[in-house]
This record gives sequence, structure tokens and C-alpha cells, in this order.
Amino acid sequence: MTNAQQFYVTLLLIYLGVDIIAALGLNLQFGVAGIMNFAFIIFQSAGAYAYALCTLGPPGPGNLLGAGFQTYFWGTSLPFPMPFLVAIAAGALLSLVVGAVILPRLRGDYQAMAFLVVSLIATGVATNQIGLLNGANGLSLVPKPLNDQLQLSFFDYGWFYLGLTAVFCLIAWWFVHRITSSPLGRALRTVRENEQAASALGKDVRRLRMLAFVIGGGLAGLSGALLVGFISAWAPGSWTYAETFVYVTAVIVGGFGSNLGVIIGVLLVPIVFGELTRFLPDVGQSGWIDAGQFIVYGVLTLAFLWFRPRGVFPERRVLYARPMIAKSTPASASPEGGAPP
Amino acid sequence: MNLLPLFIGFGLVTTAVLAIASVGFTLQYAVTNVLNLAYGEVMTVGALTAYVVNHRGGSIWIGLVAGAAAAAIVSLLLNRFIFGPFARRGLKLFGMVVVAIAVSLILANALLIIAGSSNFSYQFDAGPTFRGLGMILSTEQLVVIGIAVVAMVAIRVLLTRTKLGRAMRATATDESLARACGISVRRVTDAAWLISGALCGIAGVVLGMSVTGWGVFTDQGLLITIVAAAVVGGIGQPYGAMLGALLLGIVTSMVAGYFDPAYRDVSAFVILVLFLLFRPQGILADVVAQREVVT
Amino acid sequence: MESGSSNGLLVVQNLHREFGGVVAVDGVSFSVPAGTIVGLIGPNGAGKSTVIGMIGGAIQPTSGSIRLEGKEISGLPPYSIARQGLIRTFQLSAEFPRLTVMQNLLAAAPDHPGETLLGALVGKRWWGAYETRLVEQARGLLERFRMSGKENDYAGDLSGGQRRLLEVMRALMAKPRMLLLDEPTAGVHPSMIGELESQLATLRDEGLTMVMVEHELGIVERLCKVVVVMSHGKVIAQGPLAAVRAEAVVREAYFAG
Repeated sequence: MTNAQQFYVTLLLIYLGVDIIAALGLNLQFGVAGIMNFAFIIFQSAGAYAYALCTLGPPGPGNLLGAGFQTYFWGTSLPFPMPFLVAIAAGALLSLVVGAVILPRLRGDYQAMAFLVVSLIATGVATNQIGLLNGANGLSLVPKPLNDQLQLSFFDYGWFYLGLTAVFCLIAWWFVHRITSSPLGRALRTVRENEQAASALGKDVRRLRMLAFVIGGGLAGLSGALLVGFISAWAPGSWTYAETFVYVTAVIVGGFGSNLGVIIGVLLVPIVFGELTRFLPDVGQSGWIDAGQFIVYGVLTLAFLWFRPRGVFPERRVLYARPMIAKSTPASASPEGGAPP
Repeated sequence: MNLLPLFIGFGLVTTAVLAIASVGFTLQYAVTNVLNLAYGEVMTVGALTAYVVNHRGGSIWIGLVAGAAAAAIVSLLLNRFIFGPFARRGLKLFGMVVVAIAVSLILANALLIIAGSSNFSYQFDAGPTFRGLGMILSTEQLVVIGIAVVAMVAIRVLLTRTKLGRAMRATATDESLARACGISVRRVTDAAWLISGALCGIAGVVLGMSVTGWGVFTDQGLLITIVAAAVVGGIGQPYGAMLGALLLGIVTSMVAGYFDPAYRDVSAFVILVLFLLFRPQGILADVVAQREVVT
Repeated sequence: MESGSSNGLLVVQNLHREFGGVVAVDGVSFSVPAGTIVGLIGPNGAGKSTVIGMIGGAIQPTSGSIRLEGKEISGLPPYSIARQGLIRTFQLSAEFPRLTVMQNLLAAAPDHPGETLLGALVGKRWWGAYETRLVEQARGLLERFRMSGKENDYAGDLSGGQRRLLEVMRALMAKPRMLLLDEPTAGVHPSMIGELESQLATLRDEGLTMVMVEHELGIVERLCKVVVVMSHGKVIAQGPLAAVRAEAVVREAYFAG
């Protein structure tokens, strides 16, 4: 494999890792708890910007990293892995604020609309308030984590970063899996299935929703940090409302409520469908490939919603093991085997 | 020079376009309970159709009719083949918003491929500029306001004096009751989407007339402003949409004029969010409720 | 047993509820002695479901008091009232359709250590034993209600009658001190109504207190010691069904509508 091909593969796999973490977060909010978070991308973005602000250093003429040509409201330089933790906190905190306002008050289509509009407001403010996050140009020259310390070649660093992404992916997956395969995950699902009945059985629906929302937001923030840590630039064009839709398509196609399902969804939608189009010849209007991608995403969503709303890999039916021995034998009744609740 | 009337003047043009558009939007919601987030794209279809006609030698007026017709047909097809079937099925978890956004993205990007991202403009003779009451308005802008007034009157006549209009109001209030009274809900729904689609197309053409250049945009500033107008006035109420359009047209123009033109759309977004959170039934809600109790 | 005594497990006093000028519930008072089933009957539109809604917390009373074992619960959110042991069922079945019957039952159990974030993260070591006990308890209920074979069916796939039974079973998993049953036999196939009725009778005999909104007067007669008759938002009679039936005002309410 040539160096360029190798780099392309690592980049693709890093995108996959980032998208997996993001999709696991969205799945927790959307697939498991039933929150129609059409503002999802702004939480990924919060993490990305937070990461950038924690590594670019304070804005000002002395800053060699480029504060000379980019203005932002605050900055600092934190050592690895602090910026990642700050990014998670940023996503979680923004979720706390937005969720506290929207979740108690709205349901269904109105909730979806409110999130969508919040996303648009965020894009509008970030684009137009130049001094905040450098406006439409966004932030760039974000340093790659541990780059100076490791002194690897460009291509070897790519492999290192892939490893880093994989580690974060595994941690994120473990965290989410513990939740969704536990009675807590079951409780979250009751909120999705019938909020009123869940309340009538003693579930604090408000708290459960916020929990899913904030954790999902933290994961989104982590994915943003991982993304910007490698591609080193982040601008409003990277996080339009349509990007939320790409993740939503991945969740629908893959299988909402199922962690493995959304991983497959992410593999199919942004990675396979998204990247395959790269190999199409660039004929006709310029930019028609990007436009074509969104047409495919839209059609996929409609097709799956109509024909297979549970996705390629639906949420598993949970079974409980029966005791192997007669009831007269006490403690050796086996607890539930491999099946999560 | 006092800028306020100037901005109100611009506000009136914005209001005119908004009024036509949001009445159409709210009619669709009234009859099918769908927030048609692909509405902006259908406006563009109308505008592009008029452009094609216009640049083949047709006058802008024929273009207007062609645009209205094209948008009406597209709207009808959207409801017949996408919104209607999904609504009947009932999307429990995902809601119609996902469907609407999907349609919007498909249409917007298809139009982008077909029409490209460059700007278009209509060809018609520019008339004189009028100054009065502190406002400055070109002929086109006055015509736009005029069309809006005509359209609003036409809608009012339709709703209050025609059989179809009454059937539409009945269906919007209580569909099963309307059906029980012998109203063909399917025909009424089709008619509602054709009419609202025509309004949508007219709004698109008229918007194109009132600006120097327009194109296939993928930001949703105009759509959300339309939704805001509809929600502020009370979603599903045509008169409410007119009131909402007036308020939003003026407020956004004032924000653009006095504060920052870049925040024109954002101000509409903020208004919509605030209403969704704190007064989703809109301004007119109590008024309408009282009317229903009396009759 | 006096009607209106303030000695019941549940005491409702002077409950009022208005909806935009329309008075749905107008000064309703009654008490529910422990270990009995009180029937809430009356023609359609009398306000019975609104009363249930207020007791359960889904609707806020405009005024009035609701006391559970002496403690005021009006104004509390539904989940809080449920945590006190007052569990309601719904007129339109409110099962969790995409969860299995077993999951529906397990989800109802209160105070599960696996429902906290920390508990979930620690894992089965923390909540596994509790869960096993719950599974046993649920299987016991399924057997009792003769639905053992349906354990792994999605709740959304059940028939109407099975869903009602599921709802009662689920309410029982929630460790109730009292049940609010909103038309428990509505939509249930006649062959299953007898089953449901006998289960409710047994639960009553075991000491469970209930308020039941019900139209089927035969069931009311057999299950309820006392009924509260509502019409147009008011209580027009209270007492044993036989006595109440004889009252003229009650006959008027049912026939005049």
C-alpha cells in the first residue's frame, strides 16, 4: 500500500471511530430514551471547539499558533488528555442547559422543531460573532495531541491516532453498553415507550431523560474532540443541521436502540455510502457529489422508515434464563445467562 | 432621515412574502397535522419554474402562474405519496419531522444538482420608485405587496364563502366528524395541498421578484421564519399566519436595520423557539377558543 | 362502615377541577377503607376519570385534598405518588409495546439498584441478585394470571384482554399499597372478564385496597363493598350498591344522562 492509500485508510477508520462514538451517544438519546435531538451536532461541535480552545492557547498577538489571524474569546494550553476531558464536559454541560429548557416542556414534533431551531441559532451565532470562535472561518491549526512528544512521521502518527481513537471507542462502548443492558437501560426505554405509564409506575421521567441526554451530549463532545484533534480545523460549515441528519439516518438504518445496530448504521451510512461516492467521477456540476450524498441519505431514511423502521440490526428481544434445576434446589437456580435485561 | 419608516417599508415587503408563504404553510398543517419542512424547497421549485418560463420569453406574470401551478402539483404529490401515507401509518418514535427533513434534503439537493448554485434573476421591466410616508419602494415591491393583499383576500373568501372552504375548515377542526357529515376528506385534503402549494409557489416567485438575485439555498432561514410566523399566529389558523407574518416581517427587518443584518434570520429563530417553549398555541389562541365556545 | 369517614387508607375531600370555565369535578369527597374495593360509577362524562387522574397525580386539582394514609398527596407529580404505593392503571392500555411481557413486569419494580447510573456501571455484580428475585416474582405472577407462555412476547403483540391483565400484573410488581383501576374490564374479551374479576377478588381478600372505575354493574356488585356514584362532577350517592341503586337521584342520573 502506498503511503497515500495507507493514510486514506487510517483517516477513514478514524472517521469510523468518531462516528461510532457519536452514534452511540445519539442512540442513547434517540434510540433508547426517545428524545428527538435534532440539535445533536451542536454538542459534537461544543466538544470540538472546547478541544481547540484548550490547545490553541490564549488569543493574542503573541500566540504563534495563529491567534494572529484567528480571533476567539478564550484559550489555554492544556496537556494531554485534559482537552479531551474538557470536551466531554463541554458537550455534557451544553446538553444540561439545552435539555433543562426543552425536555420538560415539549414532546414530539414540537420538541424536534425546537431542537432543530436551537441548532440553527447556534450556527448563526457562531458564524456571525467573529470574536467568539472566529466566525465562518472557524478555528484551525489545532495541535494534534502528543504530536510533539512522539515525533512520529506523518503517516505513523496517523496509526497512533487511530489507536487512540480505538481506545476511546472501546471505553465509550463499554460505558454505553453497561447502561443500555442494565435495568437503567430498561427504565430509559420505558420513557421512550410510554412516558405516562412509566411515571405511573414510579419512574422519574424527567431525571431519566436528562441522564440520557447529558451522557449522550458528553459522548458527542468526545467525538468532536477526536475529530478536531486529527483534522485540526473546525468551522460552522462542518456542523450544519444536516450533519445531525446523517447520524439520524445511521441510527434509523442501523437499528435504533441497539448499540451494535447503530455501529453497523454508521459503517453503512457515513462511511460506506459517504466515502464510496468519493470514487465517482466528478462530472457535471461541481459539488454534485456532496448533494448526491444527501439525496441518498434522505432516500435511505424514507425507505427504512417505511419498510424496515427497526433497522438492519433491530433492538434485541431480551430473554431470561430459566432455572436449570427443579425449584426444590435453592441457590443453584442460575441467574440470567448471557442475555441482558 | 428617520430610518424607522424605511425599515417598516422593507418590513412590508418581507411581510408580504411571508404572509403568502405562511398562510400556505399553516393550511397544510391545519388539514394534515404535518409541519412541512420541505416548504422552502417547494417555493424554490415555483421560483425556478417561473425563471424557466421567464427566460424563454414569457412575461413574469405567466411565470408566476406557471410557478404556482408547478408548486401546487409538487405539493399535492408530496402529500399523496409521502406525508399522507406516513401520517396514516403513524410514526411513533420518529415523528413526521424526520420525514419532512428527509424530503427537504432530497429536494434541496436535487434542485442544487439541477439548477446549480449560481444566482438567478427574473427579467421584467423595472418600474419607477415610489417614495411616500418615509418609505422607499420600487414598483416590483409594491406589486409584491399588492399580490399579497389579493391572495389574503382570496383565501378569506375561499374559507368563508365557498363550500370547499367550509369543508376545509370542518376537516381541520375534526376530521372524523367531517367525514361523518359526508365530506370527502381525501378531496378536501388534495384541494388544500393544491391551494397551499399554489400559495407556496407564488411566494417563491414573488420573493424572487423582490430581490436582485436569488438561488437554491440550503440554509433554512426563510423556512424557519415562515414556521415562526405560522406558530406565532397559532399554527393551523390562516388569519393567525397573516398576523404572524406581519409581526415577523417587521421585527426581522428592524433587527436587520437597527442591529445587524446577519442576525435577521437568527431573530426569527429565537422568536420561534420562545413561542414553542412558552406559548406554542400562538398569540391568537384564546381569541379563537372563545369564538368556538360562542358559536 | 360510614361513607365519608376520614379513616380510610385514601381520603378525598372537596376535590374541584375546572377546565377553562367548565367544572369537571365539583366538591367530590369520599374515603376508601383499607382492604376494600370502592367502585366509582356513574354515567359517561361524570368526571370519574378526572378524579382518578387527580388522585394519581396526572391532573392537578384546582382545590381540595387527597390524603394517603394521612399524608397529603395532591399536587405531587405522578411518579412521586406512585412511589408512595398508589399505582394507577389506564383506560387505554399503556403497556410498553416494544418490550417483552417480562421486561414490562421487571420495569415496574421500584427501587431497583440497577436503575442508578452507578449501579448500572458496576454491573450484574451489583444488581444481579435483585433482578433474579424479580424474575421469579414476575414468573409467579404470570403463572397466577395464566400467562406464562407469553413471557417473551412483545407487549404490543398481545390481545386487548391480555394487555389489561399485563397492566394489572405490572401494577402488582410495583409493590402497591393501593390500586387505581380505570375501567379494568373495558375491551377485555368476555371469556377473560371472569378471570380478571376473580383475580381482583383474591387480591382484595389478600388485603389490597382499590378504587375501581367500572361500568359493568355486575362486577361492581360482586367486588365492591361500597360505591361512589358521580354525575355531572358531583357525588350524588355513596354506600353499598344495593342501597344506592334504590335512590331516586341515582336512577335519574343514569336515565337522564
